[in-house]
Amino acid sequence: MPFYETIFETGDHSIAFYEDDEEASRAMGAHHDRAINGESGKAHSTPRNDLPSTVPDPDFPATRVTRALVYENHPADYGVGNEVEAKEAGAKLQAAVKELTNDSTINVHELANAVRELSSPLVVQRGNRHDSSYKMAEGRELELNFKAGA
Amino acid sequence: MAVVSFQRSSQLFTDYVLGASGTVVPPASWTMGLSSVAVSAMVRNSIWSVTVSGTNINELGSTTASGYARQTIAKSIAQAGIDWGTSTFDNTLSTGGQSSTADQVTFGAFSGAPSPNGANSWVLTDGTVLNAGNPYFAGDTAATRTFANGDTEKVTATVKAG
Repeated sequence: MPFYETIFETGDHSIAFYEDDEEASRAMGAHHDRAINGESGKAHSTPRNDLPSTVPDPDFPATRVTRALVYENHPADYGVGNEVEAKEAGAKLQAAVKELTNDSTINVHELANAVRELSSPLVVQRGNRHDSSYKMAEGRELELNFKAGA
Repeated sequence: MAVVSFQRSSQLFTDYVLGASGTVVPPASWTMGLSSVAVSAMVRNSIWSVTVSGTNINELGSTTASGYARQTIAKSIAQAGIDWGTSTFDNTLSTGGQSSTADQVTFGAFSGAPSPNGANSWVLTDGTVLNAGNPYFAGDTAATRTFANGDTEKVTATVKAG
């Protein structure tokens, strides 16, 4: 059962678990329609008796959905357990040593950081705000029929 | 709003930061979850559990997701993606410390009512399996959130290590 990366017009993204494309389209479409109509994106809120009434609880608008990418697994499972392919780690280590060497010395923390980044499931920099935030390759892109004319 | 720092956070400081442990290590990335349990019902050694009992932390959508899944925060500071902000220092003896605020994460859109429903707290944790992983710290939501079709939720976590 798939995970969906919803990419909003603002560049915000979320991961959601839906049973199928129909459920995904229903949820994203409802949120998208709210955005078009200038409505809230927030859930129903019930004040809590255990918190002071002065706690701020601002509303926020719904945001149009721009893209939805489908993954078989949660894309944060990339690099889980901090394990990566040994070949990939070796290549990264060599490149990092070359890049970080300064006057024949190297800062071990910078080197460790470069290697550690290998297991991060997130990209450091997206090409543009509507690109995926994850290193894991998506299986496919969901066709957003609800976007027609909006 | 109440907050709690769980055992694993202190263990990371003693074993990983002070002791350079190779087994007690931070995850490849952080994940953010929502719980139906309020912070007032949690303790330092609370654990994620499907069993709603005692001081357990029970996760939203663990029976029926309806669009719920954990969100990801990178293990980095002030990079381009969703990660932690540059930390600042508060010198107040009793309440001070070093603090950092993460970029906002978004949950949803929900396709209907998840089960369990009714978020009362957010939990910084690891892994993507619901009701599993190490919780690190948690905070109350400003109100009880009851999700329905088209709803989203936004969480901006701040931590102060004193």
